[in-house]
Amino acid sequence: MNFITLAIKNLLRRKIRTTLTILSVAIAISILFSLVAFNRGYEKEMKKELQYLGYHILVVPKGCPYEAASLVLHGGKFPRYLKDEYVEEMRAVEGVKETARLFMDSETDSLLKETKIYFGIDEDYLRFKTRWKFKEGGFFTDDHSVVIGLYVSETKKLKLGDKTRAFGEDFTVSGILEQTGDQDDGFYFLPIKTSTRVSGKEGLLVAVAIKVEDLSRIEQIAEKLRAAETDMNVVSMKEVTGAIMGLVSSTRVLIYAVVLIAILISAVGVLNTILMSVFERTREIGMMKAVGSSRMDIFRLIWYETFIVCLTGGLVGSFLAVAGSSGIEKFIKKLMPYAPGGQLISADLLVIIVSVLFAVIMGILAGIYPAYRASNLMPIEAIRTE
Amino acid sequence: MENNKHAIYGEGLTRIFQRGSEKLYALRGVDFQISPGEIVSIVGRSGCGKTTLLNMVGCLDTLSEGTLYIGNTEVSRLKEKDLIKVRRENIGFVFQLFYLIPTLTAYENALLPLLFARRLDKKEKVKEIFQKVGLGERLNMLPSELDGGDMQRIAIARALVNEPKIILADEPTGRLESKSKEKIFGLFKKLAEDGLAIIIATHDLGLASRADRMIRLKDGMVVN
Ligand SMILES: Nc1ncnc2c1ncn2[C@@H]1O[C@H](COP(=O)(O)OP(=O)(O)O)[C@@H](O)[C@H]1O
Ligand SMILES: [Mg+2]
Repeated sequence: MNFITLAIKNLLRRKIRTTLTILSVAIAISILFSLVAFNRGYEKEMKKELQYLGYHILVVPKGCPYEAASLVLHGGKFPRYLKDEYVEEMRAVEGVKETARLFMDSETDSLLKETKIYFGIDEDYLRFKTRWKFKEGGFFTDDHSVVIGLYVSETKKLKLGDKTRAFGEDFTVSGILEQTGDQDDGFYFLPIKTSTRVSGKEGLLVAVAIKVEDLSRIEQIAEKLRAAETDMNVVSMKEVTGAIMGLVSSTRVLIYAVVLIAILISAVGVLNTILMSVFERTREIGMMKAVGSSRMDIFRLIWYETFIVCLTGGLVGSFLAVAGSSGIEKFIKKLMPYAPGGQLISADLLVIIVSVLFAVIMGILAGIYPAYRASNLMPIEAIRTE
Repeated sequence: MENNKHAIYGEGLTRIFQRGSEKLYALRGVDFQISPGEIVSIVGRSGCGKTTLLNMVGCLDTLSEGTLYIGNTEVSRLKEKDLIKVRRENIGFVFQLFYLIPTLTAYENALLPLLFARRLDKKEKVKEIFQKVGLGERLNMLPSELDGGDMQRIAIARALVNEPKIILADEPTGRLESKSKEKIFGLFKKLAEDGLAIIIATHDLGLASRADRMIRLKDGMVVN
């Protein structure tokens, strides 16, 4: 027998109460765990995704540049457009290596309640998407070809050579992409000329993607592009990354505030429970003092009890968070302003350590006051029988 | 002064409690001695100061006035840390309500003082003590599986593990039926024969009169 087994045996006296207290810690810690894990996964996925995009500068119509950038990443309907002839001007800017025209439109099937996103592109775009591989077929063979992502192929049961309808016209599947792991998996890619025509936006673009020769000069090149035309926004991907990360970090502050409150509430709960159990055991603590325990012994005993509750809660909470991570991921994705495609909750050892450490710190702090009160109980007060 | 003869020697023991603006004398100048091997009973009505006297001589509380020796040690002016040491080395407590920890076995309950004294190396001795107090092999039973008499035996075993010279028992038979009472008193007799000084505070005059000496308290003072 030692102080730890004694503490455990004390906790076992009120199994329901101890279990509930552990659970309250577990819940707070599992929230913390999920968010820390999410945050790490999120930043990793964001960086990966922006890298895969392949372009350094995106030229979009005037308006909120980040909204437009996000639309390009996500897909959707655009409120404004760029003129096709600008592309030639951009090509002429010194330092620009590649350009690609991009068009985008969506069509909602009111019966199936789903939205299909159509991306208008041409061969130039392939030089940006160097990671693309065709699982079957290849690029457009005529102006009514369509290239589809793997997800589209699987969910719509579309095979090479099948026809699919878009904007009232038939398109033949000329190629199916291998899994990319990002939004491309869920897109339909159409020849840009046909795409703009069927959408009634001939000669218009939603964005122009640009690769530069020298990445270190990206800002100067963006400046030159800005000088060239006035009704467009030139967004370097560095800015987009920064802006989205900024948005994320402001959301993060809010989320962490919530977590902190959850932890605080559960810490106060633990403190209260342990304090209650100290008062219930007033006489027993008096007995311990009478049979030779020092103040420090009593302090330690009560402190261990709190510590064990919090540590167990931390471990259980981490386990719950890992077990429920897919559900939690879905929930958090709904709350985030922009969520990349891949697996967001990445629970590595560091996340586990951080969560358990938090629980431990919580235990250490919540235990101090009850332990102090217990250690200061007078042995005679404890033993009085009336 | 030297105290070589008595296990406890107290003179003018006084304990004053402050009740609002009033002073309450729980003990008022009590002289008290006990020698090794002696059983002394303390009787008197509820509130007369029995428990207070035990707390004083057990170093659980500090005197307001008076001089107190435990063996050769003058304890009335010792600090808490030293009082704990005196207590560990000299005194075993037995309470009316046993104060056993329900989730610990009989054996583990008896081990507690060794845990606090950092003397778990002596735990082998507990088995011997269990034999002596009449618990035999009931080491691994929980208190709830035993009757009141046996629970008090565990508490007595717990009081004995530090090898004290004095046993202080506050109403030790107050919660026991008459058969168990007899046996527990018999056990105290046996311990006294081994040389322990035993003080029993009790309501039970029949039991008290069988002690070697009986002290009657009234309003914190000894009466005869
Ligand atoms: N901690 C305390 N604070 C105030 N009064 C106390 C305290 N302990 C005992 N008393 C008072 O001292 C008197 C003696 O009490 P006690 O020694 O417990 O008597 P007994 O054990 O003989 O019943 C009582 O009047 C009691 O109310
Ligand atoms: Mg009393």
